[in-house]
Amino acid sequence: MHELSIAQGILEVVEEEIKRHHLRNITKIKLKIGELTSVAPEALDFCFSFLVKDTELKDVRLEIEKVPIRGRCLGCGREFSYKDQDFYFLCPYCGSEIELVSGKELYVQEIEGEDG
Amino acid sequence: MVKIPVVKDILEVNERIALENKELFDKHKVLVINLMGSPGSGKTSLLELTISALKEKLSIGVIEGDIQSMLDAERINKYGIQIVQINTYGACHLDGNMIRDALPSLNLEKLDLLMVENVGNLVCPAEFKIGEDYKVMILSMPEGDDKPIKYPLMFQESSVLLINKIDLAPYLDVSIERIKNESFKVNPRLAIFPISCRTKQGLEPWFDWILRRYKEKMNAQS
Repeated sequence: MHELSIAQGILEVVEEEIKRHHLRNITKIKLKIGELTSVAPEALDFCFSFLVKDTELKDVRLEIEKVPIRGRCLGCGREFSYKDQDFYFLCPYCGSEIELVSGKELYVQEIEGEDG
Repeated sequence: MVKIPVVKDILEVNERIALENKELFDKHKVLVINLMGSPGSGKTSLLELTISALKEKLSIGVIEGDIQSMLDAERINKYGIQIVQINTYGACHLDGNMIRDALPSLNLEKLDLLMVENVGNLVCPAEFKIGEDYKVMILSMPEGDDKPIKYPLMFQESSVLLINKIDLAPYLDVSIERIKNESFKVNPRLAIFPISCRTKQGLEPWFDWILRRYKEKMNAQS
């Protein structure tokens, strides 16, 4: 259940932004979550709603964008995505080591609300 | 209606605390190892053997992370070293904050090596930095050779993989070679040491690895 810690992290980021931009009536929080992070969206939703249930954020929706795992070969430079259950971190073309281009994201991307 | 672009790391708060921990450890030249693995993979046994083997050479401290109970701390306590038990009461991993809270119970001045036994789990601990120099994972052979591909993040984040319980190999349908190959496919930089905590085979390269990392840290510019 690391979703609870992640929900806590989202709340910390969002509260900071609310203060900084004097926001109110927040309606939506957009998240970017990489596929490699094994965060379950349903569990995250549940944990977040639990954390905010008695606050002004209780009706906020989390909009989660899953970011696919993409790698770039350090040998031949080709880029490719990983399909389900296919997490070999070697280049499928030449067998060299790869670097991750995406897939580890855990970001608050955008907050929707009203200027206060 | 306004849309505020944020693009902020959700774990930023944790990473910041972990970095502060790391700076403190660096200042005192304490090598910190975050030991991760499934329940029953042999984390505490490995700690006991490592303490026994290295306690004449290094001053060792241990932080034990468990959801509940003092059992592991009691096991380690007999070695007469500094030990702190953290009970997470439900949380499946340690984070920077928990380690920071444990620090007042440790005398860092007197430590060379701090080993942190994370909560038994192959998923969550990989996600949270605690201020460690290295993440090390232990996988026991009976867990199977499909673990690297099922839990890639932990294998990716680790510097060392200890394959434990190799004395059971004759009774299992998995081979050390296959676990190695599968692990290298997920992380080609892994240092892999096949060991048995029961028969004590294969442990020397692991002890050497720690001593070399300790030396590196001592010689590093701070």
